[in-house]
Amino acid sequence: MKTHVQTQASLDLLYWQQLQGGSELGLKKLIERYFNALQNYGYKFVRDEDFVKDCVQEVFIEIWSRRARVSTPESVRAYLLGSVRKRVLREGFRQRINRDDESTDLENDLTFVEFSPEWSVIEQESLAETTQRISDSLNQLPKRQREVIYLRYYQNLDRDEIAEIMGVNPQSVSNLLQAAFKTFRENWAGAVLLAAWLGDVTF
Amino acid sequence: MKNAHYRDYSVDDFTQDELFRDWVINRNSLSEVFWLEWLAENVDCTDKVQLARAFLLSLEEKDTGLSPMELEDIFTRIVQDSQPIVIPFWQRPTFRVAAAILLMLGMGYAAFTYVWKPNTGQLTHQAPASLDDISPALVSDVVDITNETTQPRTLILQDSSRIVLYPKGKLRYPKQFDKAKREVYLTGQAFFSVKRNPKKPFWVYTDQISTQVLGTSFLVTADASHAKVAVHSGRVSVYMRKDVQHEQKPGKHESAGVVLTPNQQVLFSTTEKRLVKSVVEKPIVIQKVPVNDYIFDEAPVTEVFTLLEKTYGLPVVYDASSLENCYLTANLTGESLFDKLNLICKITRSSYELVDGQIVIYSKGCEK
Repeated sequence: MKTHVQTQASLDLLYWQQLQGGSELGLKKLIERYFNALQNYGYKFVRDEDFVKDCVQEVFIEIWSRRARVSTPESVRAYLLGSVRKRVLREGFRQRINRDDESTDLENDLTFVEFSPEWSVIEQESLAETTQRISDSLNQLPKRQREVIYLRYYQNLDRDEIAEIMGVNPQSVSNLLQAAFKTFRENWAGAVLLAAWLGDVTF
Repeated sequence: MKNAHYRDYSVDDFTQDELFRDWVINRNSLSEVFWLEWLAENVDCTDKVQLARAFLLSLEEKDTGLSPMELEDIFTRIVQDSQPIVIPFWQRPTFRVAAAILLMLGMGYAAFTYVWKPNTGQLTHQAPASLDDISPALVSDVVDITNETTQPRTLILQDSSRIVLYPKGKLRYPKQFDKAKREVYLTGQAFFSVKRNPKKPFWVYTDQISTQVLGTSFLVTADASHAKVAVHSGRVSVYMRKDVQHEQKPGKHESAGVVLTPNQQVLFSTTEKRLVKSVVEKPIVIQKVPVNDYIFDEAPVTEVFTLLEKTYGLPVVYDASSLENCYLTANLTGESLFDKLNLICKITRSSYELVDGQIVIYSKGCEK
């Protein structure tokens, strides 16, 4: 299945290069592929759909208007996620949507909201119960650890991509993830299933 | 055993597997079938799989994504809005021409008419009120879009009005709408779906006629010798260009324009130099009525006309007294407006004519 990921990435790259060359089709494809994923990602920071929509749109506008000069990113997906993250945080800060504390440091102001899975789509009761337990545990994690988990698992990104998106070095990503699992394990102490979990997470 | 390698997967491996993610995250039904079958054969892996599923689901959020239609709109708007800044302007071959035009604009009114008229081609010989008198907003800081493709092209303006510009159509709109009105200039054909805003009427200018709307959808066609406006919904007013300035003065009640309602159209002919109101070629249903309503059993024909008026939004004019004894028994379901009219007239021994965008019925009366 690794090849599938690679195919997707090389398709992204193809569209990106088309876009750089001024092809509207390239832009269109990237919007179709990523707009909604980016929208959902931005919504994790600011609970305002219209606001997030504007941010995502502006990211695409900026790329399109500067297309002759933008470089080719290592990973198009990570670049887009990172751009949306930056913009949502910056604009959100500007509009004082984020009012966590007095710090002016954006990273500390980050409001990575708690997970609230959509119950309607989880049909089996036992599955729903497990899901609830996991999200309860995740919500006890510091928000940056939570974000790493989200990017790593839900978005299926690798360490370097996450580092780029969050604007930290790759080692910090590993540290955050390890810390997250440590806490997670403690919360789940005694759970039989934990053995099946990632005893050997290498990242 | 099929796909045995999955048996060695850890929870972590599952969460990264594309086929697995396709099932859990994308809810792909084919992938679901695969995994349910696999689980049936590997019951002992159920816990691992359920844990991986629950883990991915716990990270999931309410889907705030947009519909394909909305995405299309966003794409269109991005391409359209950023068009003028594709290449730094000094690198464009047209730069020198542009500079020359700027210079001439600097020279004022005379320069404007000089620049504008060649743009609109030969259409200006009627000498209607010049555009800058009517709309200063359409003179400077405008965007000109020409559809050079063979496909209709959708544009979305900053007020969210949608315009479908047909091939060879040209549309000019200001980068920023005026405070009091929204104005565009059209050559060729375009279908407008105007976002309703009574405080800011929407004006479509062509060389010969001008159309004012508050919020509606309608089709405008303008070529060298003809201009046509056909209304799908809402209400629009159409003026000859020479009357527009007069019309826009405040406090004026008497109108030189023609008011159109759905399924009506107006034609401007250069030869007659007047606006002729008529019914569109293929009237559409404006208001849906229950299917059975068009099955009549000994119904007074005036009732039938009332229903037609309601369905197509077109006035039906008749002399009630001469139709007093006319009754209709027929099933008109599914027929077009004109087929319905033909049938009704045949049965009730009458005839109809389209006058001034209305349906006029002539009848000799029916026998008791």
